[in-house]
Amino acid sequence: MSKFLAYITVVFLINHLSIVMGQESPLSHHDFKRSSWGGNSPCTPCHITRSGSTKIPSSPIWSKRDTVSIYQVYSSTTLNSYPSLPSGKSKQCLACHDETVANANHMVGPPGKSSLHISLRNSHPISFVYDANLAMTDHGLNDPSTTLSGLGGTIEEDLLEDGRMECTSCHDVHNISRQDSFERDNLNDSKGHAGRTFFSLRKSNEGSALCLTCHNI
Amino acid sequence: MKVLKRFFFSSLLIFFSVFLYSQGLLNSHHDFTGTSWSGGEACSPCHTPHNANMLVPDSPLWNHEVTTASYQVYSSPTLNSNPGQPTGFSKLCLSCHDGTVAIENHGSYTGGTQYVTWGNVTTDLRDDHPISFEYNTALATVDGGLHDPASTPSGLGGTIAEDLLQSGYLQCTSCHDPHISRNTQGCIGCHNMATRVTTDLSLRISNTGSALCLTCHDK
Ligand code: HEC
Ligand code: HEC
Ligand code: HEC
Ligand code: HEC
Ligand code: HEC
Ligand code: HEC
Ligand code: HEC
Ligand code: HEC
Repeated sequence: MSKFLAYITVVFLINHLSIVMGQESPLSHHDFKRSSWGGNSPCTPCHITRSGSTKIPSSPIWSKRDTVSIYQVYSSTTLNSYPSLPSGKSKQCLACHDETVANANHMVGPPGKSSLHISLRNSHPISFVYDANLAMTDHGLNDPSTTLSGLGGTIEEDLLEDGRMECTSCHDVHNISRQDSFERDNLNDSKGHAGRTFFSLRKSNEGSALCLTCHNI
Repeated sequence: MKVLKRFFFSSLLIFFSVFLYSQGLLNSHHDFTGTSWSGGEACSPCHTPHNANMLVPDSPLWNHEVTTASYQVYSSPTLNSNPGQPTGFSKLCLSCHDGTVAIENHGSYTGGTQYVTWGNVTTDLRDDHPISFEYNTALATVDGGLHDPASTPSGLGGTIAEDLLQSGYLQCTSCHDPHISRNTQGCIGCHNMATRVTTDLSLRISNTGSALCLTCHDK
């Protein structure tokens, strides 16, 4: 019953968002309503409502295929974890942000925004288990099951997806609290700091606070 | 009186929280959060979560401009190893410490004007401990005065090879931790009022009684 209610709510939200939220979408850079290809709802690029389907998705319904690119994942001589091919919601992010994805339907590469295409080889490692064990071997990491994230619960509760590090450990695409991320382009300063608090981050990285949530350095 | 007491305790609290805050990288010489060019960030002068610089293989998400200098390397008649041009982590350190790249040059920014001063090891490495060579069992055997890195404990939990070498190579990081994580006392952890500085605390192993040197050298 509660599952059904949740489903109804999501469908309602997706179809009637403008009523719920008014004119301003909280999606900041992911508000594709502003672009020609985004369609009417800001949600459809990532979620669709399949008419007639009564399945309740455990994760958002993705309106496009998962990426099939073969990734080269991050590796280094000091790494203790074992990043795998992208898993969980990271796959969905990479459906648009992967450097190899071509433009089609909703497979966007925003024109002139090549930096939005992420290479996993030179990005923070993702898609691996981050647990108390890893923290113990590494010496420089906080224990995710006991350390507070600053967002209410522990790192594990607030930042990990089934105990794993993913794109969503650092990013929250719905980021309602930072509508001002539209301002990002104006915030580029001459030193290459592209408005570091405006990347749909789960928490501000002011003073590297996000990094220091997990890293005990 | 009550007010005074409260003031005393709250200033005590602030005093101690400053100490707590300074654990690790913060308040070390590699803490650039107080500068305008760092944007107040602790990690971004050296690391970035995306688009990291891959010029030096196996670097940890490197974000600083990498040096292109060539070096005069250490040599001596008694040396059994064969140090080459700096590689790996040493090259990352030298990207500030050889004095050819500005400290501020990180990310896409290249207009820096500040260089290391007393921390300049220069491009002449003939007067520095040899680096960037393989230190293995064979070298220890030939040398006679070195511990076997594959079996000798470093004192940090594993062997010398595991804790101090980068894929078997001796680098700046064999002796130094760039995060200077052993300093738990802020500036006075290294400087006290009477003497200028003890560099000890940035070392992976304290060098009191030459303990660091004697970890590898069997003299
Ligand atoms: C950029 C892609 C993207 C857009 C656009 C987007 N979402 Fe999401 N949504 C996600 C991802 C990824 C998740 C799961 C990860 C998470 O919880 O952050 C998610 C999760 C959700 C969930 C929770 C589902 C669950 O299992 O907890 C709801 C509800 C939701 N989105 C509603 C919306 C609505 C309403 C909109 C339009 C305003 C929207 N989303 C726009 C990517 C998107
Ligand atoms: C439907 C395609 C799509 C999906 C799926 C998607 N993104 Fe995006 N994302 C974009 C586009 C397009 C932009 C650039 C928008 C702009 O420049 O205005 C963007 C911008 C961003 C930005 C930078 C701008 C900002 O301030 O937010 C981040 C960070 C980001 N996305 C992270 C993610 C993460 C994490 C996920 C997965 C949870 C994700 N995206 C899923 C298309 C997508
Ligand atoms: C460890 C935290 C972390 C993880 C994991 C992470 N990001 Fe980011 N991401 C950041 C930060 C911090 C920034 C802001 C960049 C800056 O400060 O230069 C950012 C920036 C971005 C941007 C904007 C880049 C630009 O140049 O405009 C995109 C797009 C993005 N991330 C997507 C992703 C995707 C997709 C994933 C998963 C594959 C991911 N991120 C994983 C921390 C992270
Ligand atoms: C949600 C927790 C989390 C956050 C937030 C986070 N990291 Fe990490 N980071 C990890 C874990 C876990 C590893 C894997 C460590 C290992 O396997 O040795 C890692 C690995 C790394 C590595 C590579 C280590 C190596 O040995 O190659 C670097 C560099 C790094 N992080 C820097 C950062 C920076 C800079 C930030 C802030 C932008 C950040 N991290 C934010 C959890 C996190
Ligand atoms: C002055 C440059 C510098 C700064 C600032 C710096 N690092 Fe590093 N970091 C390095 C170098 C060089 C290495 C490689 C040598 C090593 O592993 O000790 C490294 C290695 C790492 C590693 C991987 C090694 C390991 O022990 O797992 C992580 C994780 C890391 N740094 C995180 C951080 C975080 C988080 C911050 C910010 C709080 C930070 N660093 C600030 C230079 C720096
Ligand atoms: C971003 C530039 C930068 C990088 C990269 C860097 N350093 Fe430094 N380091 C500095 C500056 C600046 C100082 C202060 C001395 C000065 O200004 O001359 C310093 C000071 C030091 C000191 C003396 C401080 C003390 O407390 O003992 C040591 C030792 C040191 N660095 C070692 C290293 C090593 C080893 C690496 C590589 C793992 C490294 N540094 C990488 C900028 C850097
Ligand atoms: C064999 C161990 C060892 C290696 C390898 C090593 N150092 Fe040092 N370094 C030390 C010790 C010990 C000190 C403290 C010297 C003192 O107390 O005066 C020191 C001091 C320093 C200082 C402080 C400035 C000074 O002159 O006192 C800097 C900067 C520095 N090292 C950088 C480097 C860099 C860069 C590398 C790699 C090119 C490197 N070190 C390699 C052991 C080492
Ligand atoms: C991580 C291991 C390690 C540490 C720590 C270390 N050394 Fe070395 N050192 C070596 C190796 C290996 C060689 C190369 C020996 C050879 O090739 O004959 C070497 C070479 C030397 C040489 C040159 C010998 C020659 O024949 O020219 C001197 C001098 C030296 N070390 C002194 C020191 C001092 C002083 C310290 C402490 C500050 C120290 N070492 C710390 C491993 C280490």
